[in-house]
Amino acid sequence: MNIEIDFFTLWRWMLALVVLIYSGIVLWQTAAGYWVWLSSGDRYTGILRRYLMVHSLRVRARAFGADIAVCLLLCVTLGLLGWLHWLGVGGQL
Amino acid sequence: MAATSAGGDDLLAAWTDTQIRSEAEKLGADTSPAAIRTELLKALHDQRRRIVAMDEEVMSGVLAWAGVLPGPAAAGEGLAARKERLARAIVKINTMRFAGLSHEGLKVLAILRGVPVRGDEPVPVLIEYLRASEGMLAKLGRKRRSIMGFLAEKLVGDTPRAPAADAGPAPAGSKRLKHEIEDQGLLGGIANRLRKSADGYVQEKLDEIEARIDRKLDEIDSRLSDWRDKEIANRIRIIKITLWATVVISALSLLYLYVKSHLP
Repeated sequence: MNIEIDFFTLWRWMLALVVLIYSGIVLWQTAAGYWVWLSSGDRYTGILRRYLMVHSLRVRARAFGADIAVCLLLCVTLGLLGWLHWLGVGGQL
Repeated sequence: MAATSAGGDDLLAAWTDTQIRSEAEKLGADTSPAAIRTELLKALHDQRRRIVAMDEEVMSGVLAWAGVLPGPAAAGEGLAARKERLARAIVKINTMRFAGLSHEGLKVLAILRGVPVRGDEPVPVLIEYLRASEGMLAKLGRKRRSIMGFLAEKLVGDTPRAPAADAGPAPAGSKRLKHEIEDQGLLGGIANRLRKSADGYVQEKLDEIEARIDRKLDEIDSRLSDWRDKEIANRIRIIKITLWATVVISALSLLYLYVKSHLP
């Protein structure tokens, strides 16, 4: 049995997996910490929570619309490149 | 030590004649010096009955007209107790100028000054009854205080200016110094005027402080909004740069793959 292992590809996939898990855990921990703190029944934390919600609702997409549109286009481009990569790896390119 | 009509009959039985007389006078009942205990109790009960029958809004209107506060309310105070509290404050009003007081207010004032009224007398008759109820000594004292008030007004320089033609009625509770001294004596009138000036000054300063705090809060709110927008813009910029880098590397990788697959 002759198994070909591309170490570079292996390294890329391992790195992507580790970074994904690590960033997921850190994001979850931060979000959970903020959620627990803002959910507390303390009067002043309640005022802060409502104030944060009001500020979030006041954000206008018009101010960041252009940047968000560029990010979406880049995501589409990345998806396209990924699909072409997959075609290339499959020998169809 | 006020025994209100709400459950105070047992307390009254334990009181001395002097206490009953004092309580009756505080509620404006007409008591003669020679009245015996039963007569005093009857006067007190009758006055309480009249007070309970009064309209609370009219009583509050009389106090507002005189510029007097009714005193702090007790916890769990009932309607009858509230009316008695207002009545005690009205009894302390001893002015003999009735301009601006309504017909109902005059009736309430007359009842609380011990003037027997039927209730259907017109305003001029009520005013005449109230003026007639003032004793000779009280009248002389009031005239003396009026002269002192006039002199004090001249001394202080607080002479009233003629109101402008388009000015509305004077605010309720605003009185000339002369009239305040006439009603409450020299020291009482001056102290009252000083208190009102101090209250006005403190109110003005509190309003100023409140306006300043509001301005600061608005400033903080506007700064937080700007900071929020800047932060969001920075985060989106970071995501954009990361995506650009990823797209460029992917493009290079694709190019490499293409060249590698098509090299001979």
